[in-house]
Amino acid sequence: MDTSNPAAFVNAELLRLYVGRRVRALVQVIRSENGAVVGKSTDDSQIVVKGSPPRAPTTFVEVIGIADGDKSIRAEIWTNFGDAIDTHNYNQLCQLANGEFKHLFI
Amino acid sequence: MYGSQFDGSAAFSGGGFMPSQTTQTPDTSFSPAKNRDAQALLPLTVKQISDAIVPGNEKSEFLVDGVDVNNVKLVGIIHDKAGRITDVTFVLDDGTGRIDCNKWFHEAIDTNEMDKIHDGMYVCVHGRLKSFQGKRTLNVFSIRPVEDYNEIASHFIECVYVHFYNKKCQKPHVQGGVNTQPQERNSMNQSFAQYSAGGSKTTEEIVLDFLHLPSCL
Repeated sequence: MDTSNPAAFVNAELLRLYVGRRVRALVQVIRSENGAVVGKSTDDSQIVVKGSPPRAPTTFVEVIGIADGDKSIRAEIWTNFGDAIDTHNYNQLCQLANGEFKHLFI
Repeated sequence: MYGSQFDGSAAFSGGGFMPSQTTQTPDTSFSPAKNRDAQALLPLTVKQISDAIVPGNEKSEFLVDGVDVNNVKLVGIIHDKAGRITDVTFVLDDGTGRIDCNKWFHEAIDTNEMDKIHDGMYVCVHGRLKSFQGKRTLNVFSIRPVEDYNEIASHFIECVYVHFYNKKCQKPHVQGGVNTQPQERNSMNQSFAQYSAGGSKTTEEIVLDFLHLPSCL
């Protein structure tokens, strides 16, 4: 069992607390650019995800990777989350996982 | 022996349960798992599993938030799947940590279940926690792919909820008195029965509330 490399649940606001560390975020894909995807985080802010998305990305993707800036993530794992998901739910989870229940996650 | 810690009339009102008659010692775990017929299923993160206490008695292998842990539910990504004839091993990474899992094949249905699951997929696993030479692993009895991805956020929120509830139930025993603070977080109490005004619940009522949690039904 290994808990040495956890990925913190983040939205755009929380991302800046984890620069250089492993994070996970739910992103709504707005557009794909060269080697990056511009997306909207669960708190309605723009973030950039660098890397190669799956061949057929759905509207929502979860990315797990290293935060390399206040507004960008260098993704290692992309997971298609489909075209409809409750972003409010995920955003509330980000708040809980970084608040008083942080010890359950990181 | 503990009579001085309890105000009998305030603590056990109306239940017919008198402190002097009970043989129950004020321990930190009132878990329903002590009744072997009612073992709860706990949604947990790998981090919670790694933080679980080993109480060192034969009654329970692990304690999380004062509750005996037997059966657990985890949601994460599967890695390093290695199938053999009689069983399959894999690593489950739920974002808080990685845990080694194994699943025994008893019937054809088990093999078929595993054939549909590949590395990199999100899965929901139910299993039993095991400890061997200090290493904690999961003996899986049910695994299925996640289809609705709302399940991921829901699982972790459920982990938070169950942790919060167990911690809150743990308080009366830890303090030695039975006066809870129902005024705190009143909004969280709406989903289960209100504490009686000015008093607190009997142990049986707390246990029944816990068994009525969705995760236990």
